[in-house]
Amino acid sequence: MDFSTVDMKHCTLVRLGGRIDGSVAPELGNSLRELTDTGHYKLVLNMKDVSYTSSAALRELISTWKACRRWNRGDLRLAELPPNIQKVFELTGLDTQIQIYPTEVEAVGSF
Amino acid sequence: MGEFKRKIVIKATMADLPQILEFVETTCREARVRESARFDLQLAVEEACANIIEHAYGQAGGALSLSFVTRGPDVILTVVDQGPSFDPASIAAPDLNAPLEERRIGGLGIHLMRRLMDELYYASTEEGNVVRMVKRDVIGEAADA
Repeated sequence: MDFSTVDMKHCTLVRLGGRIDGSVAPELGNSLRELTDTGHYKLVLNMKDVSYTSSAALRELISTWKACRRWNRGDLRLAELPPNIQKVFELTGLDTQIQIYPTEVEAVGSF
Repeated sequence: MGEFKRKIVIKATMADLPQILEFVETTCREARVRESARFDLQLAVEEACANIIEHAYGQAGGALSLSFVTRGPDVILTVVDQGPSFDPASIAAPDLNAPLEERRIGGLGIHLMRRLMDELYYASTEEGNVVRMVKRDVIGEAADA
């Protein structure tokens, strides 16, 4: 799994890549927790280069989404989901709960 | 179309998931499963195996076998473990319409298995706990291609 961050003016952009199966999902959770633990509550996750994901990664994203939104201090928004990843969000109904943007620019600009 | 059959048996922990998924990917290629269905099969297998590792075996892991069999254009995946009996069908479906803040965080894996596969069976047998999943019409040219 690839994980890199860019500090933007109004949010933090996280670029994810590779396969995020249950063996690496805890690593994703830890990296995201490091961000929220250091006061980064406005997050954009660009998932363009993610080729595979399962419920293990969704659990980490939901938990980060909740941490970001606590006391209205921020939000976790997603961008550029490849079709298979979009399908996983749709099948689990998360696409109607987590804001998903077609482009990184739109997601970053939404904050 | 002759029957195609592959099987792996491993002592599975979460760290072994990539090896299991690699087996599914390679076998899908060998069996000429359509590209569009390969992701679904990997995901259903991961959810089935992760449930076993998480609920039956814990961190120490345990013996798990996965067999991949074709029946005409269908793929039948069978996962067998020797852990305590655990029926995935007994898990309540998550309420997808509830606000995410109020949703129980578990249950998504089973939900995905149900949605991605056409048939899902569970049985407790002398062999162990058996989860059998069928995905229909995924080998050969798609009718709608």
